[in-house]
Amino acid sequence: MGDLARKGFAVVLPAAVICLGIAFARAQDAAEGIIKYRQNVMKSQAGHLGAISGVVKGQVPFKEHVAAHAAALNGTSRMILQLFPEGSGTGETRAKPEIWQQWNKFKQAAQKLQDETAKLVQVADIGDLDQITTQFVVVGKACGGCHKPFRKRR
Amino acid sequence: MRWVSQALPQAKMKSRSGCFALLFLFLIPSGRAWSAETDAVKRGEYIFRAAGGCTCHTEAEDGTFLAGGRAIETPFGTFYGTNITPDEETGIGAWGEPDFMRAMREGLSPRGAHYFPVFPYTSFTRMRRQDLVDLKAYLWTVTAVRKENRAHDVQPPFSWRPLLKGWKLLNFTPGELREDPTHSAEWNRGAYLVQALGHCKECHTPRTLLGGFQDKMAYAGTQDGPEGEAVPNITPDAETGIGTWVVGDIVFFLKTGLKPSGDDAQGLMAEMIDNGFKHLTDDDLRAIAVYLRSLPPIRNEVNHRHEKVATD
Repeated sequence: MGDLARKGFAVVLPAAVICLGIAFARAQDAAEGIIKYRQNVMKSQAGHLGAISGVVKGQVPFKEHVAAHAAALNGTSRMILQLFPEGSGTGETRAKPEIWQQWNKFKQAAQKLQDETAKLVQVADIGDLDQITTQFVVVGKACGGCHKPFRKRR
Repeated sequence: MRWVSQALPQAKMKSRSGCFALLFLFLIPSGRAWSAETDAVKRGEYIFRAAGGCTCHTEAEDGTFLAGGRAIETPFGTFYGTNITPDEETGIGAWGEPDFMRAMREGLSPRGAHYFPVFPYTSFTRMRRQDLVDLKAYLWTVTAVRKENRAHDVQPPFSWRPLLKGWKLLNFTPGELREDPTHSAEWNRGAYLVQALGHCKECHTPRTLLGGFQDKMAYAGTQDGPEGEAVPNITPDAETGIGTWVVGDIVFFLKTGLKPSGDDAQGLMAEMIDNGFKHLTDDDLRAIAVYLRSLPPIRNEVNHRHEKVATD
């Protein structure tokens, strides 16, 4: 009997350790995955913002492109809350713990970006460069509205 | 003058004769005195903006305007911005013009004590006299706030003020900025805005162990900026500085805080743009850009602490 129990243990314990290890590794992979994913989304936003700024500064004549960039920004801004699940604040990330401590404030800041990018889409459809410039700056401020309180500085 | 022009149509309607002349005579002297004073304040406010809104004197997160208390972490200790509202007891309201001049140009308090160079008199000493007079006129219109200054938290020997006399001999050259006739008027304006008013060098240049500037690395950025932050290289080096930014990019950045990459400015710089630089004229922002682009490019990768995190 004792022998059997011992044999059982010899099998179960390492198995349990391996299972736990895999589960832990999976969780970590998942956390790394979401961090990587969210950084890619943020980088895409920076890309569109940078592109619009080229138009606004008169460096390129593509005023009619702004609507598409703005729509992309609006689309990705709708993802933001999903990009920050609990537990995704550790590891290689600049996300501050305040995001989850002040989730409502974070939510409002994210909502602000949605609203302002939606307005940028509207303004871009009208096509007046002055209006686009003004609203673009407001969108930039909305980015800062999240970055300042919730992103670690470099 | 504005009063006069507003009064004119009314005067014309009322009468074509003496009344008009009388009104005119009555308005001119008072109008002039009034406008001379407000012009100085207006000019002073512009100087204040060009200096980045003296952001270090306002506590972060909705602090009382210019009433001090802001913590400025440096490798030498933590300094606290002082109250520069015109409160006579706790601010600078009791200062006369010579006191103000001495502080800004020589880094000396009214009682003759040396200021720590965290107060960038090393840059402000380059300012023109009239700009200082105007700046004072503006600062004295700010709401006076009673708030005692907080003692700096600095370890010896850096806390010993008398030693600053020696520091100044080594690291401080007082005097106004001179125009460089070999460059354009725009470049010279930019040099003045960058060196004297904007005091860009103060944060964007690495310092020696004693806190002087490493002049060979001027504007090349540093790991050890104020508030424990890294400060970017703003020389026109293409890889490690802002060499890929054209004049329009710099102007736009100083107006909005948005970099050509689409990212936004952080920390003190974001505040200085909001409180100061975004209010400057396009001509002045362009002058700043022209000057910055004329600096010798210096290769210096400022190793942001979280850089890997952000870009990988």
